[in-house]
Amino acid sequence: MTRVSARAIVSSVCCVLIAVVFVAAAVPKLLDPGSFAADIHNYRMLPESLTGHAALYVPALELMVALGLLWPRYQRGAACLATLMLAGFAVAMAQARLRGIDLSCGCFGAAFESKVSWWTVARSGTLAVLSAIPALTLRGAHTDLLGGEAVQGPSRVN
Amino acid sequence: MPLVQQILRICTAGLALGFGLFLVRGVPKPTEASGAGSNTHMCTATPSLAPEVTPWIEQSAARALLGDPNVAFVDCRPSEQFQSGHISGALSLPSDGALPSATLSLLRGTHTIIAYCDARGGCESSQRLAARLRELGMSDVRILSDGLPAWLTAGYPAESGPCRLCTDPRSDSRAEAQP
Repeated sequence: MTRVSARAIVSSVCCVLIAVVFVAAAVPKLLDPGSFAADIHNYRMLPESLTGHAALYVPALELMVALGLLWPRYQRGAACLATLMLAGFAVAMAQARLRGIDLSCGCFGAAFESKVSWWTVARSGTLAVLSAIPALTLRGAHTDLLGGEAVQGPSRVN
Repeated sequence: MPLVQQILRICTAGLALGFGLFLVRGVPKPTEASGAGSNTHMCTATPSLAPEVTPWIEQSAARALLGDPNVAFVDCRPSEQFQSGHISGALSLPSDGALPSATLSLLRGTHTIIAYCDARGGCESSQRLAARLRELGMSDVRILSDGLPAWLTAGYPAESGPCRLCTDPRSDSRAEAQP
């Protein structure tokens, strides 16, 4: 009988969790990019000419990262990207707080707005840490707990 | 598959999807927000057309209204920040604090209320206060675009010290008066 390592289980759970969060974040933004562009504009980090483009490409990338997290072949790369994106979001929110900008975070679209606070910064930071787990533990191997192909690597099966 | 290759493929897919959206709908403008609760930037809109959304007002337009007896400026920041500097003649009304009846009476005597805070962004404090004032029957509430920092940068009239017209909420037992 095949025994799946605890590390593989934890990595897969993290992948699914982050994927769900990214899908929940991407879909409302893709449906209403104008609102997300306004949210990006409020962060005062990008030139105005780039906010509209960012409102299209960021949620598109979020969606692709979510798909990658659920596809064993791309899990590690997607986890790395998710970590970078979430860390970037946390930095963006932290600079807004430090500059005294009082704004909605734009995390899950206009329908689920929440004010940027240290709580939202911590939330993004925590998710970044969770997504770093598969990025680090899937080194050289894939997990097939999500229905992917069987792969090599000692970390998957004991 | 090497890690770099995974990342490149995911990024390429994301860029392709984003580019497809760009071709379909063009670049969204920050001002064309349409979702519920979004910060719609429509300083020229008639408030009664969209009472659930607080209109914004540009700095220059707000400056032109300063001194008009039918217009009240409301500072949504904590009273300590208000005392350190605020728009000349503004009333202090922290967004999360009590709404003193004396201040509300002053506001009801005006036609237009311009709320502002310390943010250059969406200013959630102003949004919250505007919503509370609307609930109390004040329909023409606007939010100052770019808030106090831009006002000071433009060199528009400002002053410091306590709010002369405001009532201390702690001594006002009739706070949160109903319309």
